[in-house]
Amino acid sequence: MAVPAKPPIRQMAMVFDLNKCLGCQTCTVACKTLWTDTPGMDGMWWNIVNTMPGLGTPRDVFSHGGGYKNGKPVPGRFPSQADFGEAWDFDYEAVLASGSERGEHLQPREAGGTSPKWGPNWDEDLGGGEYPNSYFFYLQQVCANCSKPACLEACPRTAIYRREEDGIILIDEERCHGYRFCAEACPYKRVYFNQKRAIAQKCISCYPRLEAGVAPACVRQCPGRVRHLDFVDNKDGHIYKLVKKWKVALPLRPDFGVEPNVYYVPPMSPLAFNEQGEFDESESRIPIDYLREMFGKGVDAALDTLQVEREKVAAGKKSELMDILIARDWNDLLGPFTGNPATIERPPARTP
Amino acid sequence: MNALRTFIQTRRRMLAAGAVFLVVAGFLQFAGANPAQSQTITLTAYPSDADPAAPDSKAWKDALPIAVPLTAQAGTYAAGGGSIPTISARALHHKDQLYVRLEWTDATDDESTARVQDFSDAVAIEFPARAATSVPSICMGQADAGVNIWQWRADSQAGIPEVTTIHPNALVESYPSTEDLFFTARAAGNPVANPAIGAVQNLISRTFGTLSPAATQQVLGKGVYKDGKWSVVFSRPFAGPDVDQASFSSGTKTDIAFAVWNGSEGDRNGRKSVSAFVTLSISAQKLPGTGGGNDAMVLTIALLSLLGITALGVGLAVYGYREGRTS
Repeated sequence: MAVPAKPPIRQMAMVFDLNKCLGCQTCTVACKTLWTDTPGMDGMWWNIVNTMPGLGTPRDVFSHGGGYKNGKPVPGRFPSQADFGEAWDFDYEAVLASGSERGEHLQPREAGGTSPKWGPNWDEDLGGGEYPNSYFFYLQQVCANCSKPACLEACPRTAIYRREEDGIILIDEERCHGYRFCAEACPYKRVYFNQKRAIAQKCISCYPRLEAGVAPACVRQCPGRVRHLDFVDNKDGHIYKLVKKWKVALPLRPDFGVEPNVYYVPPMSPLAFNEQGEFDESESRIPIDYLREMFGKGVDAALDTLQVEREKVAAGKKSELMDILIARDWNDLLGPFTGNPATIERPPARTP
Repeated sequence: MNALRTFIQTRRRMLAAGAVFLVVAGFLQFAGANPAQSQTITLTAYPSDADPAAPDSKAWKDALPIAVPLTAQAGTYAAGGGSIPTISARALHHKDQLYVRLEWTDATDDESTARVQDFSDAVAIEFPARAATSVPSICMGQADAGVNIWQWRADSQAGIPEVTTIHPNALVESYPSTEDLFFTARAAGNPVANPAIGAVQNLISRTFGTLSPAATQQVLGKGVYKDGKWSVVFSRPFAGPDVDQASFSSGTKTDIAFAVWNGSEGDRNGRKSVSAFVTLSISAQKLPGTGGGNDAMVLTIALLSLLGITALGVGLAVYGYREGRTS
């Protein structure tokens, strides 16, 4: 109970470049088809991409407490089933069999015929601001394998542990009793409850793939080359360079106090329009206060660095930072995990 | 005459014990004390001729209940609970099996954990492990004195819910992976993920965070919710299969403690209502006054006999006194 997580020998970490995400959910589906396709996992999205500003997945994702404030645990609560959303159907009958030529649109329907109120990625592309200064960006979330994992410390059954070899945090499915204190404690609400198995489950960072030298499915499948992966201590690797050297990759909601090991390159944005419809040199389209709330105080310097390096390349000069972010060879994103899942030797199939 | 004397003595002892119990109970009622903490309560398991496995079995009619006060689990969050103030406990044994019947009032019948915010009603009893050389800590035991916990869960008894209980519109043509390998919790032997284990988990613990399934799962349990009350009967053969589990035998005493979880209050794990250890006495003798089911008649005869003997005694005393005076 409340056993502090032992620091791992090495820490695996990821950087997601928010300037490149297309919001296509290929990562989400890669994860879904690989891991969460058994009964009871139907509503699980270990990887999810949400439009920000927005309420996220589950609803009001960052408003459920958890994490730490001044080193003390913050009481959390888990979102309700309604916040996760219910599976719905569509009124195919009305559209396809009604005989009407036009005017009928496919509408989502819950059981009983009501319209659903919420679901995963519900507020897609709504964003914030008002025209012409409306804005949004996509935010990808997986388990952040935090260095101060609130989930691990909240578990009264010591069912959550942190691996020495890569700092990945896993739920021991043999010990978990489904008490869901971890789900309360995680400030990012990345823990799901499997009602068929009565246990908590979350992103496992594709650890069986990592052990075989293959990058997690969400990383490898990303068509936008958004996701960088490596050990933090590899000084030649992307993670070290983006987080420690160039300081352009920042933790999400650092005020939650859990020290996540997923970092984000904050979204750059064009200048805002003033009332005359001209560019306002003093304001960016995405309010800087919002980005400070999301990524902490380092966001100003990070955006400045990105701007300077981008201009350097525009002027025909070389920039290490821009080369890393552009990722001309997508294998460079994967750190030491460049194995091809199609060609690795698989263990023989186990017979029960 | 000897048999009659034994009978009278037993009856007297019972009456005296009853009177003491009433006085103590009355005192505690006014003093607001927790009798379980001072281990003044004994739950006696008398032998039963009938099978007491069902909560509504006739065998329980004669078993004397004890009321055990419960309090919230002490400690910081995630401890808590305390919404169930008392539990009624009875015990019997039948064919070298111990039966414990627990009854408590709970306004809500919480049997489903289908939704993420749902928790189940549950009840547990705790015994010292056979290997324990001292009374273990009530809080999950300690290194040199483990505990054996039997937990009955309403959701486990109800069975694993269908996906459609929370997603009535869910339409799944087929799941690609259905073999055990892909149901990791179940394949790893996690009792909460395995419907085959049934409603009761037999657990062992040697301090916080070490609660684990016992090597054998032979504790049976059945719960019935009726009229705002749960009644649950646990049973297990006397002989403990290993030293980490409790062992019982006729004519011995051990300790027993209770815990109740109220699902609608978010109770699970350390959020529960708990008692201290009370004594469990496994009687070799039958509960006096039982056997024929004619309690009132036996009691009347006993009382009349008592009065008769007392009158005889007084008469003899008076006679003796007079004889003494006149001689």
